[in-house]
Amino acid sequence: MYPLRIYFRGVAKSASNTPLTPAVLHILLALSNGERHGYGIMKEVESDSQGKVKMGPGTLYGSLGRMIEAGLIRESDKKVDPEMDDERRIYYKITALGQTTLKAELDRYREVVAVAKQKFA
Amino acid sequence: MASESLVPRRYRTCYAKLLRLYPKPYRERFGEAMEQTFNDLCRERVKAGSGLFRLVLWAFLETFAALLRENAKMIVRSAMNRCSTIFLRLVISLIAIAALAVCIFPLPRMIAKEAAKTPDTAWQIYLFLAGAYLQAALFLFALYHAFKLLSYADANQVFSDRSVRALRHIKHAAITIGLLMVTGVAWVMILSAGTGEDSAGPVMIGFIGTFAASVVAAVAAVLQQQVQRVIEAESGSERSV
Repeated sequence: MYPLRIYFRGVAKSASNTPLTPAVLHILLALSNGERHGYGIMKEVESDSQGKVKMGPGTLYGSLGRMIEAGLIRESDKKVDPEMDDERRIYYKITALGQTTLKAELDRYREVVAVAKQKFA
Repeated sequence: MASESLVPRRYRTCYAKLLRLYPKPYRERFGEAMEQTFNDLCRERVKAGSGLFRLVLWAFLETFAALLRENAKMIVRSAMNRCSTIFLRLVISLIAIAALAVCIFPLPRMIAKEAAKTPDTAWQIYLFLAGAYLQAALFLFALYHAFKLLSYADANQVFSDRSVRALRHIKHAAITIGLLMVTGVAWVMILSAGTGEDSAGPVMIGFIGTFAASVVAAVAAVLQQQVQRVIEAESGSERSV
Protein backbone atom coordinates (compact mmCIF):
# COMPACT_ATOMS: atom_id res chain seq x y z
CA MET A 1 0.00 0.00 0.00
CA TYR A 2 1.60 3.25 -1.07
CA PRO A 3 -0.41 6.22 0.26
CA LEU A 4 0.55 8.74 -2.41
CA ARG A 5 -0.39 11.76 -0.36
CA ILE A 6 1.87 10.70 2.53
CA TYR A 7 4.63 10.12 -0.01
CA PHE A 8 4.24 13.58 -1.59
CA ARG A 9 3.97 15.27 1.80
CA GLY A 10 7.07 13.40 2.90
CA VAL A 11 8.86 14.66 -0.20
CA ALA A 12 7.72 18.21 0.49
CA LYS A 13 8.68 18.01 4.17
CA SER A 14 12.20 16.97 3.21
CA ALA A 15 12.25 19.65 0.52
CA SER A 16 15.04 21.44 2.32
CA ASN A 17 17.27 18.61 1.03
CA THR A 18 16.21 18.61 -2.63
CA PRO A 19 16.19 21.57 -5.03
CA LEU A 20 12.90 22.77 -6.46
CA THR A 21 12.35 22.90 -10.21
CA PRO A 22 12.42 26.41 -11.72
CA ALA A 23 8.68 26.25 -12.43
CA VAL A 24 7.81 25.34 -8.82
CA LEU A 25 10.19 27.94 -7.41
CA HIS A 26 8.76 30.72 -9.54
CA ILE A 27 5.18 29.73 -8.75
CA LEU A 28 5.94 29.82 -5.03
CA LEU A 29 7.59 33.22 -5.45
CA ALA A 30 4.57 34.49 -7.39
CA LEU A 31 2.22 33.36 -4.62
CA SER A 32 4.44 34.46 -1.75
CA ASN A 33 2.90 37.93 -1.62
CA GLY A 34 -0.73 37.02 -2.20
CA GLU A 35 -3.15 34.65 -3.88
CA ARG A 36 -3.45 34.63 -7.65
CA HIS A 37 -5.34 32.86 -10.40
CA GLY A 38 -3.58 30.80 -13.06
CA TYR A 39 -3.12 33.56 -15.61
CA GLY A 40 -1.95 35.94 -12.89
CA ILE A 41 0.67 33.39 -11.79
CA MET A 42 1.81 33.01 -15.39
CA LYS A 43 2.27 36.76 -15.86
CA GLU A 44 3.98 37.19 -12.48
CA VAL A 45 6.43 34.38 -13.25
CA GLU A 46 7.22 35.90 -16.64
CA SER A 47 7.74 39.28 -15.02
CA ASP A 48 9.91 37.95 -12.14
CA SER A 49 12.13 36.00 -14.52
CA GLN A 50 12.27 38.86 -17.04
CA GLY A 51 10.82 36.66 -19.72
CA LYS A 52 13.28 33.77 -19.19
CA VAL A 53 10.68 31.41 -17.68
CA LYS A 54 7.60 31.11 -19.87
CA MET A 55 4.95 28.60 -18.91
CA GLY A 56 1.98 27.58 -20.96
CA PRO A 57 -1.28 26.35 -19.44
CA GLY A 58 -0.13 22.72 -19.66
CA THR A 59 3.07 23.22 -17.65
CA LEU A 60 1.45 25.68 -15.25
CA TYR A 61 -1.48 23.53 -14.24
CA GLY A 62 0.61 20.36 -14.21
CA SER A 63 2.92 22.07 -11.70
CA LEU A 64 -0.03 23.47 -9.73
CA GLY A 65 -1.54 19.98 -9.50
CA ARG A 66 1.71 18.48 -8.17
CA MET A 67 2.20 21.33 -5.74
CA ILE A 68 -1.33 20.90 -4.39
CA GLU A 69 -0.66 17.17 -3.89
CA ALA A 70 2.60 18.02 -2.10
CA GLY A 71 0.78 20.51 0.15
CA LEU A 72 2.80 23.52 -1.00
CA ILE A 73 -0.23 25.45 -2.24
CA ARG A 74 -3.98 25.10 -2.09
CA GLU A 75 -7.01 26.25 -4.04
CA SER A 76 -8.63 29.32 -2.58
CA ASP A 77 -11.84 31.10 -3.60
CA LYS A 78 -13.40 31.28 -7.03
CA LYS A 79 -13.87 34.98 -7.68
CA VAL A 80 -13.79 37.70 -10.30
CA ASP A 81 -10.56 39.53 -11.09
CA PRO A 82 -11.55 43.21 -11.23
CA GLU A 83 -8.65 43.96 -13.62
CA MET A 84 -9.87 41.43 -16.13
CA ASP A 85 -13.28 40.43 -17.31
CA ASP A 86 -16.21 39.28 -15.24
CA GLU A 87 -15.40 35.58 -15.37
CA ARG A 88 -14.94 33.83 -12.03
CA ARG A 89 -11.50 32.28 -11.66
CA ILE A 90 -10.01 29.85 -9.15
CA TYR A 91 -7.34 31.48 -7.01
CA TYR A 92 -4.35 29.67 -5.52
CA LYS A 93 -2.72 30.38 -2.20
CA ILE A 94 0.62 29.34 -0.71
CA THR A 95 0.43 27.18 2.44
CA ALA A 96 2.64 27.28 5.53
CA LEU A 97 4.55 24.28 4.15
CA GLY A 98 5.01 26.16 0.86
CA GLN A 99 6.37 29.17 2.73
CA THR A 100 8.82 26.96 4.63
CA THR A 101 9.90 25.19 1.46
CA LEU A 102 10.41 28.49 -0.38
CA LYS A 103 12.45 29.91 2.49
CA ALA A 104 14.63 26.78 2.59
CA GLU A 105 15.22 27.01 -1.17
CA LEU A 106 16.15 30.70 -1.01
CA ASP A 107 18.51 29.97 1.91
CA ARG A 108 20.16 27.30 -0.24
CA TYR A 109 20.60 29.80 -3.09
CA ARG A 110 22.14 32.33 -0.69
CA GLU A 111 24.63 29.71 0.56
CA VAL A 112 25.61 28.79 -2.99
CA VAL A 113 26.02 32.46 -3.95
CA ALA A 114 28.15 33.06 -0.82
CA VAL A 115 30.43 30.12 -1.71
CA ALA A 116 30.67 31.32 -5.32
CA LYS A 117 31.58 34.84 -4.18
CA GLN A 118 34.37 33.42 -1.98
CA LYS A 119 35.78 31.32 -4.79
CA PHE A 120 35.62 34.02 -7.45
CA ALA A 121 36.26 37.12 -5.33
CA MET B 1 -18.54 37.23 -23.13
CA ALA B 2 -17.04 40.38 -24.72
CA SER B 3 -13.45 39.35 -23.95
CA GLU B 4 -13.86 35.94 -25.53
CA SER B 5 -15.03 37.49 -28.83
CA LEU B 6 -11.48 38.80 -29.31
CA VAL B 7 -10.26 35.19 -29.55
CA PRO B 8 -11.36 33.35 -32.70
CA ARG B 9 -13.92 30.73 -31.85
CA ARG B 10 -12.09 28.00 -33.77
CA TYR B 11 -9.03 28.34 -31.53
CA ARG B 12 -11.12 28.14 -28.38
CA THR B 13 -13.06 25.14 -29.69
CA CYS B 14 -9.88 23.28 -30.75
CA TYR B 15 -8.23 23.95 -27.39
CA ALA B 16 -11.29 22.71 -25.53
CA LYS B 17 -11.18 19.52 -27.64
CA LEU B 18 -7.48 19.08 -26.88
CA LEU B 19 -8.20 19.32 -23.16
CA ARG B 20 -10.58 16.34 -23.47
CA LEU B 21 -7.50 14.14 -23.95
CA TYR B 22 -6.46 14.75 -20.34
CA PRO B 23 -7.43 12.10 -17.76
CA LYS B 24 -10.94 12.75 -16.48
CA PRO B 25 -10.06 13.68 -12.84
CA TYR B 26 -7.47 16.17 -14.09
CA ARG B 27 -9.84 17.59 -16.69
CA GLU B 28 -12.59 18.07 -14.12
CA ARG B 29 -10.21 19.83 -11.77
CA PHE B 30 -8.24 22.06 -14.10
CA GLY B 31 -9.98 21.98 -17.50
CA GLU B 32 -12.05 25.15 -17.06
CA ALA B 33 -9.12 27.07 -15.61
CA MET B 34 -6.83 25.98 -18.46
CA GLU B 35 -9.37 27.16 -21.03
CA GLN B 36 -9.67 30.52 -19.27
CA THR B 37 -5.89 30.88 -19.17
CA PHE B 38 -5.58 30.03 -22.86
CA ASN B 39 -8.24 32.62 -23.70
CA ASP B 40 -6.48 35.19 -21.52
CA LEU B 41 -3.17 34.55 -23.31
CA CYS B 42 -4.79 34.92 -26.73
CA ARG B 43 -6.72 38.02 -25.72
CA GLU B 44 -3.55 39.68 -24.45
CA ARG B 45 -1.82 38.94 -27.76
CA VAL B 46 -4.73 40.32 -29.79
CA LYS B 47 -4.85 43.51 -27.68
CA ALA B 48 -1.12 43.95 -28.25
CA GLY B 49 -1.84 43.84 -31.97
CA SER B 50 0.25 40.73 -32.61
CA GLY B 51 -0.63 37.64 -34.59
CA LEU B 52 -2.17 34.71 -32.81
CA PHE B 53 -0.99 31.78 -34.86
CA ARG B 54 2.45 31.30 -33.29
CA LEU B 55 1.11 31.70 -29.77
CA VAL B 56 -1.71 29.24 -30.41
CA LEU B 57 0.69 26.72 -31.98
CA TRP B 58 3.04 27.02 -29.01
CA ALA B 59 0.16 26.69 -26.51
CA PHE B 60 -1.20 23.61 -28.32
CA LEU B 61 2.20 21.88 -28.48
CA GLU B 62 3.00 22.74 -24.88
CA THR B 63 -0.39 21.52 -23.65
CA PHE B 64 -0.12 18.35 -25.76
CA ALA B 65 3.28 17.53 -24.19
CA ALA B 66 1.83 18.17 -20.72
CA LEU B 67 -1.20 15.95 -21.36
CA LEU B 68 1.06 13.11 -22.53
CA ARG B 69 2.93 13.45 -19.22
CA GLU B 70 -0.29 13.44 -17.17
CA ASN B 71 -1.66 10.41 -19.00
CA ALA B 72 1.64 8.55 -18.60
CA LYS B 73 1.67 9.44 -14.89
CA MET B 74 -1.87 8.17 -14.49
CA ILE B 75 -1.10 4.89 -16.27
CA VAL B 76 2.05 4.28 -14.20
CA ARG B 77 0.27 5.18 -10.95
CA SER B 78 -2.66 2.94 -11.77
CA ALA B 79 -0.34 0.07 -12.79
CA MET B 80 1.76 0.49 -9.62
CA ASN B 81 -1.30 0.55 -7.40
CA ARG B 82 -2.77 -2.48 -9.09
CA CYS B 83 0.51 -4.45 -9.11
CA SER B 84 1.21 -3.86 -5.45
CA THR B 85 -2.36 -4.49 -4.33
CA ILE B 86 -2.79 -7.57 -6.55
CA PHE B 87 0.35 -9.09 -5.06
CA LEU B 88 -0.71 -8.21 -1.51
CA ARG B 89 -4.23 -9.52 -2.10
CA LEU B 90 -2.72 -12.79 -3.31
CA VAL B 91 -0.49 -13.04 -0.25
CA ILE B 92 -3.43 -12.35 2.11
CA SER B 93 -5.58 -14.93 0.32
CA LEU B 94 -2.85 -17.58 0.57
CA ILE B 95 -2.32 -16.86 4.28
CA ALA B 96 -6.08 -17.13 4.88
CA ILE B 97 -6.29 -20.43 2.98
CA ALA B 98 -3.29 -21.79 4.93
CA ALA B 99 -4.87 -20.75 8.25
CA LEU B 100 -8.18 -22.39 7.31
CA ALA B 101 -6.41 -25.54 6.16
CA VAL B 102 -4.53 -25.79 9.49
CA CYS B 103 -7.81 -25.31 11.42
CA ILE B 104 -9.61 -27.99 9.40
CA PHE B 105 -6.97 -30.71 9.02
CA PRO B 106 -3.90 -31.06 11.28
CA LEU B 107 -5.09 -29.11 14.34
CA PRO B 108 -8.17 -31.21 15.28
CA ARG B 109 -6.22 -34.46 14.71
CA MET B 110 -3.34 -33.23 16.86
CA ILE B 111 -5.70 -32.20 19.65
CA ALA B 112 -7.64 -35.44 19.46
CA LYS B 113 -4.38 -37.44 19.72
CA GLU B 114 -3.31 -35.47 22.77
CA ALA B 115 -6.74 -35.77 24.36
CA ALA B 116 -6.69 -39.55 23.83
CA LYS B 117 -3.41 -39.79 25.79
CA THR B 118 -4.95 -38.19 28.90
CA PRO B 119 -8.73 -38.83 28.90
CA ASP B 120 -9.14 -37.36 32.40
CA THR B 121 -7.88 -33.99 31.39
CA ALA B 122 -9.16 -34.10 27.81
CA TRP B 123 -11.57 -31.21 28.51
CA GLN B 124 -8.59 -28.92 29.12
CA ILE B 125 -7.16 -29.82 25.75
CA TYR B 126 -10.49 -29.22 23.99
CA LEU B 127 -10.71 -25.86 25.76
CA PHE B 128 -7.30 -25.11 24.33
CA LEU B 129 -8.64 -26.08 20.87
CA ALA B 130 -11.59 -23.72 21.31
CA GLY B 131 -9.13 -20.92 22.14
CA ALA B 132 -7.09 -21.77 19.06
CA TYR B 133 -10.21 -21.63 16.83
CA LEU B 134 -11.19 -18.30 18.38
CA GLN B 135 -7.75 -16.95 17.57
CA ALA B 136 -8.01 -18.33 14.02
CA ALA B 137 -11.40 -16.60 13.60
CA LEU B 138 -9.94 -13.29 14.81
CA PHE B 139 -6.95 -13.77 12.51
CA LEU B 140 -9.23 -14.31 9.50
CA PHE B 141 -11.29 -11.28 10.59
CA ALA B 142 -8.11 -9.16 10.61
CA LEU B 143 -7.08 -10.51 7.20
CA TYR B 144 -10.53 -9.62 5.82
CA HIS B 145 -10.12 -6.02 6.97
CA ALA B 146 -6.59 -5.89 5.55
CA PHE B 147 -8.09 -7.04 2.23
CA LYS B 148 -10.68 -4.24 2.45
CA LEU B 149 -7.92 -1.70 3.12
CA LEU B 150 -6.28 -2.71 -0.16
CA SER B 151 -9.54 -2.10 -2.04
CA TYR B 152 -9.75 1.36 -0.42
CA ALA B 153 -6.19 2.00 -1.62
CA ASP B 154 -7.20 1.00 -5.16
CA ALA B 155 -10.15 3.38 -5.02
CA ASN B 156 -7.87 6.15 -3.68
CA GLN B 157 -9.83 6.22 -0.44
CA VAL B 158 -7.03 5.44 1.99
CA PHE B 159 -7.73 8.62 3.95
CA SER B 160 -11.34 7.89 4.83
CA ASP B 161 -13.36 6.89 7.90
CA ARG B 162 -13.72 3.40 6.46
CA SER B 163 -9.93 2.95 6.50
CA VAL B 164 -9.82 4.16 10.08
CA ARG B 165 -12.52 1.63 11.04
CA ALA B 166 -10.68 -1.20 9.24
CA LEU B 167 -7.41 -0.35 11.02
CA ARG B 168 -9.26 -0.19 14.35
CA HIS B 169 -10.73 -3.67 13.76
CA ILE B 170 -7.27 -5.04 12.88
CA LYS B 171 -5.81 -3.47 16.01
CA HIS B 172 -8.52 -4.90 18.29
CA ALA B 173 -8.25 -8.34 16.68
CA ALA B 174 -4.45 -8.35 17.15
CA ILE B 175 -4.76 -7.26 20.81
CA THR B 176 -7.34 -9.98 21.50
CA ILE B 177 -5.18 -12.63 19.78
CA GLY B 178 -2.20 -11.47 21.88
CA LEU B 179 -4.19 -11.73 25.11
CA LEU B 180 -5.48 -15.20 24.16
CA MET B 181 -1.91 -16.27 23.37
CA VAL B 182 -0.68 -15.06 26.76
CA THR B 183 -3.57 -16.89 28.43
CA GLY B 184 -2.76 -20.03 26.42
CA VAL B 185 0.93 -19.85 27.33
CA ALA B 186 0.11 -19.44 31.00
CA TRP B 187 -2.33 -22.35 30.79
CA VAL B 188 0.26 -24.61 29.13
CA MET B 189 2.88 -23.68 31.73
CA ILE B 190 0.50 -24.47 34.60
CA LEU B 191 -0.52 -27.78 33.00
CA SER B 192 3.04 -28.87 32.28
CA ALA B 193 4.13 -27.89 35.78
CA GLY B 194 1.54 -30.29 37.08
CA THR B 195 2.42 -33.16 34.72
CA GLY B 196 6.16 -32.51 34.63
CA GLU B 197 6.24 -32.37 30.81
CA ASP B 198 8.60 -30.17 28.87
CA SER B 199 6.58 -27.25 27.50
CA ALA B 200 9.42 -25.17 26.06
CA GLY B 201 8.25 -25.67 22.46
CA PRO B 202 4.60 -24.59 22.87
CA VAL B 203 5.60 -21.75 25.22
CA MET B 204 8.16 -20.45 22.71
CA ILE B 205 5.54 -20.57 19.92
CA GLY B 206 3.12 -18.77 22.21
CA PHE B 207 5.64 -15.99 22.97
CA ILE B 208 6.48 -15.55 19.29
CA GLY B 209 2.78 -15.38 18.47
CA THR B 210 2.20 -12.82 21.24
CA PHE B 211 5.09 -10.71 20.01
CA ALA B 212 3.84 -10.83 16.41
CA ALA B 213 0.31 -9.89 17.50
CA SER B 214 1.68 -6.97 19.56
CA VAL B 215 3.67 -5.67 16.59
CA VAL B 216 0.61 -5.86 14.32
CA ALA B 217 -1.52 -4.08 16.95
CA ALA B 218 1.10 -1.34 17.37
CA VAL B 219 1.49 -0.79 13.61
CA ALA B 220 -2.30 -0.72 13.12
CA ALA B 221 -2.64 1.79 15.97
CA VAL B 222 0.03 4.09 14.54
CA LEU B 223 -1.46 3.91 11.02
CA GLN B 224 -4.94 4.55 12.39
CA GLN B 225 -3.68 7.62 14.22
CA GLN B 226 -1.87 8.98 11.16
CA VAL B 227 -4.82 8.43 8.83
CA GLN B 228 -7.14 10.06 11.38
CA ARG B 229 -4.79 13.03 11.63
CA VAL B 230 -4.69 13.50 7.84
CA ILE B 231 -8.50 13.28 7.64
CA GLU B 232 -8.88 15.88 10.41
CA ALA B 233 -6.28 18.17 8.79
CA GLU B 234 -8.05 17.95 5.44
CA SER B 235 -11.49 18.56 6.88
CA GLY B 236 -10.05 21.50 8.84
CA SER B 237 -8.53 23.05 5.71
CA GLU B 238 -11.74 22.47 3.72
CA ARG B 239 -13.71 24.27 6.42
CA SER B 240 -11.33 27.24 6.43
CA VAL B 241 -11.64 27.50 2.62
